[in-house]
Amino acid sequence: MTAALSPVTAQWQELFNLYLTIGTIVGTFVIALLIYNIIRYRHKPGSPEPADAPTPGKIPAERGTIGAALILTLIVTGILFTITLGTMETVDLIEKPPEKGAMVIKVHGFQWGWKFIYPNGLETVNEVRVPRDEVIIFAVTSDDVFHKFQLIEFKIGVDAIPGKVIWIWIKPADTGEYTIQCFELCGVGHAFMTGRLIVMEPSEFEAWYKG
Amino acid sequence: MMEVPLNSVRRWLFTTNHKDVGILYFITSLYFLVVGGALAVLMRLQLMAPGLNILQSAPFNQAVTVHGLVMVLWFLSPLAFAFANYFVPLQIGARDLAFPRLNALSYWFYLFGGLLAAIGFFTPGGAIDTGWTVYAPLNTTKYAPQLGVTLGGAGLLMLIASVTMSTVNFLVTIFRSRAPGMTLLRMPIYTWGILLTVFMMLFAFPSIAAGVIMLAADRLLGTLYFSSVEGGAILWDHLFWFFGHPEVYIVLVPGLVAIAEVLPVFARKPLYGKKILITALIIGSIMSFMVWAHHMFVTGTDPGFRKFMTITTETISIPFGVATLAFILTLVGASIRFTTPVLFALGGVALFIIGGVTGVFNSSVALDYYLRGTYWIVAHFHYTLVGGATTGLLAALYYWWPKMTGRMFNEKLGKLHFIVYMIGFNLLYFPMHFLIDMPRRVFTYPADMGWELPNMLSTLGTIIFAFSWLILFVNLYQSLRKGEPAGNNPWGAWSLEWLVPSPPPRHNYDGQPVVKADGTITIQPIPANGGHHIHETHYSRWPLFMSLGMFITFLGAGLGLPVLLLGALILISSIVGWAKEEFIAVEPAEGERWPFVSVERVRLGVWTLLFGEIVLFGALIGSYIFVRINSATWPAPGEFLNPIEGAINTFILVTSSLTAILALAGAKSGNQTLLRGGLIATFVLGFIFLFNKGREWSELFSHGITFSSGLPATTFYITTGAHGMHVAAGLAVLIYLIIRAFKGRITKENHVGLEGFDLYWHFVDIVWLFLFPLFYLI
Repeated sequence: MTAALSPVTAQWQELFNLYLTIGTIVGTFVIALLIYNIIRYRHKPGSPEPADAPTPGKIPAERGTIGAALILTLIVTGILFTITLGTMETVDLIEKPPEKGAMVIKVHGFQWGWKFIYPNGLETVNEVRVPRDEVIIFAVTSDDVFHKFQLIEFKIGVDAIPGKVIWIWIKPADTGEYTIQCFELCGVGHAFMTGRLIVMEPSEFEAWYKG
Repeated sequence: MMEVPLNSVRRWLFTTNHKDVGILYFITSLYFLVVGGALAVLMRLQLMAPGLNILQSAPFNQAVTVHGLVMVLWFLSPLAFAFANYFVPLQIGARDLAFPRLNALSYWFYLFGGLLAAIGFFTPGGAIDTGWTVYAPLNTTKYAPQLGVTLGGAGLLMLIASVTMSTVNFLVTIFRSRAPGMTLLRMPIYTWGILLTVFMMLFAFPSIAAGVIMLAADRLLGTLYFSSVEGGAILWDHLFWFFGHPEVYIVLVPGLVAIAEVLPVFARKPLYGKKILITALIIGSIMSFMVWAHHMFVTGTDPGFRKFMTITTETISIPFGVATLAFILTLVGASIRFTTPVLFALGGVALFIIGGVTGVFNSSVALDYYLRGTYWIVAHFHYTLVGGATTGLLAALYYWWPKMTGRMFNEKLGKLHFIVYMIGFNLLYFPMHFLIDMPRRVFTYPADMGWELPNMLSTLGTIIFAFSWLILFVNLYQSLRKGEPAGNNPWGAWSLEWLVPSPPPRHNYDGQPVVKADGTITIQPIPANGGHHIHETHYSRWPLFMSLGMFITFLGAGLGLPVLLLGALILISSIVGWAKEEFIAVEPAEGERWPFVSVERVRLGVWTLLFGEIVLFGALIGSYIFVRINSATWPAPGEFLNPIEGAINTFILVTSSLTAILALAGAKSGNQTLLRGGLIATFVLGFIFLFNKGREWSELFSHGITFSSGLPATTFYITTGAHGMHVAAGLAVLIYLIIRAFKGRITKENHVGLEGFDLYWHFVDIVWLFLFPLFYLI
């Protein structure tokens, strides 16, 4: 289950599910209401025209009240308010790494690949190794054009912009290989601008990092 | 006055009649739909399975870019404005738009702009390939050196000019040409939607205009707006999305109001809560300018700013949610007759609901960290812009087709179109929700990601969806050939266009439409003793020639000086031809004009234009401030510009405003000497101002300070250069006015052109009063 991969991933998935649940219920209800009205108020042979039917050369009568408008607005607002709170909570989590002293790996997008620079100066291209269960901060920028650094399984990504550094963090719970991909059109190599995130056991990582 | 036979090609080339121009927009927008659609089919075929080779990476990027630009700017809005051109004057009881020649010019600029963008496919390196958002710095010559990108920018500029002219035209028409008794609130909802749409256009398009001007300067002159990190990606993002998000509503609103126009006619019940709907749309239109940064949630903008944009973005779904519920409530107590137009209207509501729900997801910063750039977004905006807007406009198409052609279409084929359309659409776009992990705009994808099935289904849907349009075209063709005569009012609709024959006569009404206090609409004969009725002009060759000149000039920017000069020659001679032509556009003697009761047509037009200009210079000045704040160092005042010289020039320009006022006073009091003297003095002062600017520039150049000598030089040259172009344009108009003044054509009674010029000239001077301290003193 991807949701458990990292705290941010879990929170993202939870929030997405909240939106999905509310969105599905609301969407289904409204479309059901539409279909119900379409069937209920279809024209039946012999049925008379409504009294206020549009008449050629006559401005139609007004329908609907301010009260009705207020009720409609309140319903929509109430739903949005609930999900906005959820958003604020998740944003705070995404944007504040929980621990100080975490490892910061610089990420440079370029046409067409990803360069990673570790604190000790070690550089890798299109492959980044990190230890399990530790907070990793990616400081993302670009050497040429606009890219987007995205960790697909972790459900997190951020724009890579020349002259600008933007941070995201993960705390991977499981070892394994994950996909890095560019999500902003950046030229002819865009489709192949992928990389691998390899999560290792902390001890194995230490050995690799020092060696 | 020019007259041409009705059955001639010349009619369509030279027409200025709003209905003919509407038909031109209609045909051209459908042509661009086929272009954009064909590109989409190619892309979907390429993506049908992993690793295909139908469209390689470079052509795919061109296809995805041109598809986006063409569908949004050259198909959707123009189709909406085909109906707006045809029906807004009819619906408010007017004989034509306020400025018929300007309307024809808008159309030709639109067409030639589209050709400029598309012509790139036939140049080395291909068409524009940066994505429709043309993100910086991928849009600079370093990463996209090909001519196609420059041509795409030129095409955009022509389109922006076209839109600006339309905006002025529709605003003045709706405010000045309404029939007596046709108050704003009594206007049909489609006209209301167009009114709000042009308001949004007025403020949104100048922002992209500024962006494209800066981009053109970067590409052609070597300025540094988008290749520098101080400007670059984020500057373009702001300029683009300040336009780009209102643009979403600019294309959406006409589709929604088309639904609102069609539903009540076939439900046989009045629109539920027309005032509520109008209020909701006004709020939505205003708010559309407060949400642009939700496209920039993950660009590292300030967190507080982002939360603000999250809240505004979630709030903007309220008015559109209310609009949707108003549509559904319209059906309560109805007796719905299921003809083709209402099926599309109802289908549009259903699809828009789905697009609206997924839109709320994207308003969340937290979700957007991941969703930005995925196929989820592609699914979302196609459900709103195709599902909502296009389906709504199809309802309008079937609804108004009998009025435009005088013939009915085949109802069975119409229903078949609807069924195939709905199946194709949902099969095409619904699977994209499951491609939430797949990036947009990739030309291929690996086989092991689990993306095969949704992609395959989506491509299958594409073929069905494309086929559904074929059914439409067959239906329309058959209708033209052997459709049943439609009569005046086949649907039993209430609004004014249904009171006249189908198609309506060239002058729309044999008389003056009047709405009585009780809401009854009558067409009153024009009293015979009121003198002979003035007949408007309906043809002019100059809009076409002027657009052609502009088109060739832009081509010349890529092909070389001889072509450019030829274009400029055609352009200038057609401007002269336009100015000399006797063209009669009649404004009704009486009508509803609130709130512009005492403002004359031309003056209102100039005012409207100036609002757009404020945004244009606001964007240019804003960009200057943006790069200056982001720059670590900046030259101190007086370091490369001379404040004393600048102050003298400021004084000269301000004085020219004074002489312009004197000239107008001369005209108003009938003092021809004061008028002529004032005009000449204004011209001389304006000329000296430009001359001094030229000297200043050449001095800077001789010191080696060129367009690419850093951002201080870049921003100075382009911002004051744009201002200088405005001064030069003013001088050109002055020459025209001076000639008229010496011919004695500017009189006490008729000096509206001079009034318009004065407004413009004061505006240009005021802009300088901002530029002078910003560039010379601080």
